[in-house]
Amino acid sequence: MKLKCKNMTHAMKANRLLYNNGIHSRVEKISDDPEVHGCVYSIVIDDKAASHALKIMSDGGVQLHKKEKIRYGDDA
Amino acid sequence: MIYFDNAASSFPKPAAVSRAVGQWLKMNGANPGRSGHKPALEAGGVIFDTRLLVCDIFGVADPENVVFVPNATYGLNFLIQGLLKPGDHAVTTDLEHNSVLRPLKLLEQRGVSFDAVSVDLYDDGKTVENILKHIKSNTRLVICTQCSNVCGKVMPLRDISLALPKGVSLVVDGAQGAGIIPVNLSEEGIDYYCAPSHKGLLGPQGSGFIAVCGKRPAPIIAGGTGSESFDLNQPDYLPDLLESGTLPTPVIKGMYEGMKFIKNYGIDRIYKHKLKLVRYAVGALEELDGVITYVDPGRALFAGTTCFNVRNKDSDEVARYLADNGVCVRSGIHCAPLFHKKMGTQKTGMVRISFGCFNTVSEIDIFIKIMKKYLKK
Repeated sequence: MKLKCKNMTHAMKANRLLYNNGIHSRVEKISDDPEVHGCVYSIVIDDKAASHALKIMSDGGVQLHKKEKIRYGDDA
Repeated sequence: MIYFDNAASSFPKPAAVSRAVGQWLKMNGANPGRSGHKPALEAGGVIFDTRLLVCDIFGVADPENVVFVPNATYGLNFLIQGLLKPGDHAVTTDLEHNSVLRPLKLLEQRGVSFDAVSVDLYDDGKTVENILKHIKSNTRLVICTQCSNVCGKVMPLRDISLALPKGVSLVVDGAQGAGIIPVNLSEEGIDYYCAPSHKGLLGPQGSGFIAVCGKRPAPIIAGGTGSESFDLNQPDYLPDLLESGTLPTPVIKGMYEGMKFIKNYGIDRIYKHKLKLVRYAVGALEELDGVITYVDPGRALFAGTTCFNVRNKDSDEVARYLADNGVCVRSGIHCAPLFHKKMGTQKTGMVRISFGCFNTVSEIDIFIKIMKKYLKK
């Protein structure tokens, strides 16, 4: 699962939060999405951990990009 | 060389600071928050981890509320100019640095008014009373140093924050307190705090931070943030709102290492050590005939900075003699004009000695010996 974050700060926040909870993730710059412009970063998470990861990110206050289709509470 | 000028810039730095800055410059020159290659993402990680460490040390809830700025003066300008509007009023104190007083004076031309109230060096209750007496219906900010840059007086921030009426925010200039006096912004009710890297945080010159715990200030600088690039308006969220242009990653990396050092060593321990040094120094100076000391660090809360003069001598002359004999101090007005007016030292200035966590009692003994030689001249 790849989630567009509000900015690099939120992508890094997600990465560190997930790491502290034993979930591997990586930060990537979005380069293949016609919907977003500028320096938008995503957090890439293994699909198997997606649901747990979303809960951690939501609880930790990670904000997603306005063009991100998934919202917290949605099924991953 | 004996270095007693830590209130201007701390020295020496922990070995890890210079090592980290050097290694970073050698291994990674990438821009954080812009590109997507590995060095750029690593740079972004350094910036983020430093935000996290600021949160940890200073009790800030969210890392996005930590904004990097070139130094405390820039930080104070962001806050003072970004929060006060025409018609607003602010209260500050007579211990402040020009980094507070000049932005306020500048804003007077735009319809902002302010009062600089007297700090009682030994009665915190009276200081709080003085501040409250000057609060008006249009007062928006109280701007206060954490610690005087000349005499080392530590301000009663918690008492001030508890006493302020709703709608009045507290801005704290942590230039002389960060890394020196323990502070927890959430617990002490401090709305805004700023500090430079190069003093008590033991980092390099060229960076600092603002912690925004209150409403967001309006930006006074706008530009590229990497985010929302097609929108000509500045992003309205932190830290991007206040962080335009490339951040100085090597300096921030050094600041991170400096903060890690003080966190591991313990700010409480650093404070006690500096207080011991300052009390020892003032005690020894008081015994010298012809020396005037101005504060008694045994009577109230003071940090590791103090000031003195030699009767009928200009402070610059004393500082020059000390410098010629290998002791680095600072003389003059220290950009704190109201404090010097308060103490009646506008003409002579003062000699300031400010200790760092690596200074020792035996260095003070050498300094006192040199002072004795000077007084015999």
